[in-house]
Amino acid sequence: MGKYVLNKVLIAIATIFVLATATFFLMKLIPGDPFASLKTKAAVQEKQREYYGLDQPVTVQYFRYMGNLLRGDLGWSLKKAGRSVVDIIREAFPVSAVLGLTSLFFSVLIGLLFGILCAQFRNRWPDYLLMLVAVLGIALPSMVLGPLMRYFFGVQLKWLPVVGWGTVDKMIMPAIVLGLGTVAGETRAMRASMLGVMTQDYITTARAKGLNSAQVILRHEVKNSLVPIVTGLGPGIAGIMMGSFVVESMFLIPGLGRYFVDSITNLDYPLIMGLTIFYGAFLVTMNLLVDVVYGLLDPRIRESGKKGGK
Amino acid sequence: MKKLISLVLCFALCAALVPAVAEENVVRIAYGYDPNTLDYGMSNLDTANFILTHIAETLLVQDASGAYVPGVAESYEKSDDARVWTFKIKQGLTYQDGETPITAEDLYYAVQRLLNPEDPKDNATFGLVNAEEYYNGQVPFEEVGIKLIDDYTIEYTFVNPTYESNFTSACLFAPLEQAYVEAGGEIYGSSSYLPLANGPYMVEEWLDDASVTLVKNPAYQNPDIVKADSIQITLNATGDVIVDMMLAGELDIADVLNPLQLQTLTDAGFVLGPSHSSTYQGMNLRGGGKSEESGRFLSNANFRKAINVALDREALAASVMSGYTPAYRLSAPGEPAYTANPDYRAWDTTANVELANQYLNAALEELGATKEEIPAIELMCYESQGAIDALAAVQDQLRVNLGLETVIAPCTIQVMISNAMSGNYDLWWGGNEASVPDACESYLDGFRSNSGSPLRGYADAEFDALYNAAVTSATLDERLANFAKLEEYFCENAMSIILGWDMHYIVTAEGTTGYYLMDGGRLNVTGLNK
Repeated sequence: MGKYVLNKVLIAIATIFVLATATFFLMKLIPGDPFASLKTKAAVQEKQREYYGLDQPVTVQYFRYMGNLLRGDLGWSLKKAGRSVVDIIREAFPVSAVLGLTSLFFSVLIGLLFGILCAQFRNRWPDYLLMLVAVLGIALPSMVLGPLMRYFFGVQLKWLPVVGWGTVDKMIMPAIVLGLGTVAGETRAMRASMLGVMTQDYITTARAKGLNSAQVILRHEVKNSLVPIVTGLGPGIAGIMMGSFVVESMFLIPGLGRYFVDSITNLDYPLIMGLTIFYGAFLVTMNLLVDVVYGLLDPRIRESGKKGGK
Repeated sequence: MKKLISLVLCFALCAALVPAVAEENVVRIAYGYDPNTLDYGMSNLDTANFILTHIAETLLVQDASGAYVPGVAESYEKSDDARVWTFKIKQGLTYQDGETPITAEDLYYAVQRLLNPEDPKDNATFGLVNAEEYYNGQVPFEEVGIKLIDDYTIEYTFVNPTYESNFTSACLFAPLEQAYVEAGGEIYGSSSYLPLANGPYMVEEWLDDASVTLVKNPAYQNPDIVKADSIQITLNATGDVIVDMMLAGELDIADVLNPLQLQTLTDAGFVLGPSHSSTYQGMNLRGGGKSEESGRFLSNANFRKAINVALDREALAASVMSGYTPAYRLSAPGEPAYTANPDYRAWDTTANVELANQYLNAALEELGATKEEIPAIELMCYESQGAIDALAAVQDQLRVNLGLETVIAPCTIQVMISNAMSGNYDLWWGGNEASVPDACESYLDGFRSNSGSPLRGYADAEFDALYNAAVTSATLDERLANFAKLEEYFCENAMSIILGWDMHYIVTAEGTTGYYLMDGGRLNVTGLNK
């Protein structure tokens, strides 16, 4: 298992290196100038390009960046004066992560419950009703649901603050809006997975052994249905923890989501690089964790891992 | 029984404590962006301008009546040509810590830092004598038009005459304490290292991309005018969020742009306050065109005038330019240049198809060209749906009213600005900030033959002469009179296509008083009463 993990870590480092290199050169292909401004004198813009080394050849900029990266220096934002990329990520990521995980926890819980019920009541009214809810969750875009919730629960009923961050009540609406799509996805995935498991021979065997329905569902059906769900959770967790531009903008949450869009719009090179590398590293780590958890859930994978290791 | 008595006593104690805690007078407002930086040399967003208005006291300040009164300055003298200004600084002023004194040296350092080419600042400006030469390494700083006479006297020498309104600019005329700024280094002005305030408020907390809280500056020289205990600024709020927050009672005052949102608020009982225009929105026209082919036509005044009068600004404002007031000249309501010459109308706000075609025919005759030879003019814009929709309407009007073909070219914001700066456009959909007292330095500067920038593409000696007459006017009245002539020339030759003025409306709950708009539409809530 140790060799397996080491191998995965080396692949992860190589992946991040390739990602950083590709992003750097692709980013430099984007036309435009980060300092171009109608408000700032042309002579000042020229000095700014020199100050940040953007007047140097791209290869020189690349080696300088990679050298700094090896020392853990992601540089300074070109647009947020006085703020390093590391500071921006350090402050914004926990916000997105807390919101994302809260949303994910409840949406996965609800999604799994819905999925189990749908599978158990296959092609009966609870299945249709819950699937309708699931489809609505996917069909209703957050930019529609968010303002509607803000208006009803914030403005009309005054049950919750309209926007903001920092207290539990401010987290409720964005977590729901962010998680509704996940509820829908998890419901559909769990339903499909369970229906597949329910027809397996070992389920028939379990029933033949005299286990009651609850034991069959919980010990065999649910556990084995979770394997594909967990596989999808790795990238899902990484994605949802990195923030959502739409939901964060709608509820004024100081998370990471907005920076993914703004950094590209502003051609804030260090921030684009920093976010890409951070996201890439996080995604790779989550996938690594999923591989490990996957092995723990499915003995066949564990065994094949051992054989592969030999 | 004992428990009951204890409980009653507890309640009584709590009840007694409640009135003892004075209710804090908090002003709550929201802006569309994070300030990004509060470094006076770098900040240029509305949010930062609002904060700096309240934390940075400049040499002169504008009071609620619109008059310029001493701020950091005690008194001043100016030369007859209004180019040399000597300020006496008040003695005994300190920054927010109540200890660090404010001296003329702090004002000297502010300029020195702003013009330091080794540490380029966005707001670097070259109005002082030799400022540009120093920036380009041609002269030492000692030759720049700023002189430290003594600890409390400073003298500025400008290239052109200058007026009181200029001395309210924080980037040049608010003091900076050198040791404090240099201790901050790279992070000075960020949320990690806030500026030392000398205005009525100071920054208590800045949570990036979330909120800024200003509290009363205990060391402020004039505490009686400061009414609100604190100002709570919510950041990154879009227009619809601001409306929802107002309706939910989470904001006290709002700067609203969209007429529909304004209508929602006034329908709900909120009160409409003063308004101001911040931008001239329209199609920036490059006199030399993007190519020789298009430049042949766009450099012709009659051709430009044909485009200008063929457009129905009222129809555009009613459909695709929501929030804009149809423009009938360059200067916008609220600007001193508009107020000084309020009756001027350069064109109708509806299309005049007959006149447009007369201009077009005259242009073709002057150029010896036929209509078929006119190339498809490119309409460049930012790739937002709003901009594309606006240009689609313009495209349609030009096709129907003049028979002109155009091509819409959307691009990213940085590409659009780069293209504009390098003169790589025919017509470009964009806004230009209104300024005080007029549009000379901020907008019309680029139209000069020797502007040194390919941005506008003009070489017009008459315009140059009128521009020079305006900027060298010794008094404000003379300046505004000369600017009126410049504006007429600009409009009547359609040197750019001004379509609308971007109007901001201040909205408050009923009974809110004590706030006012300063020059440039800067909101001041120091004296706000709820």
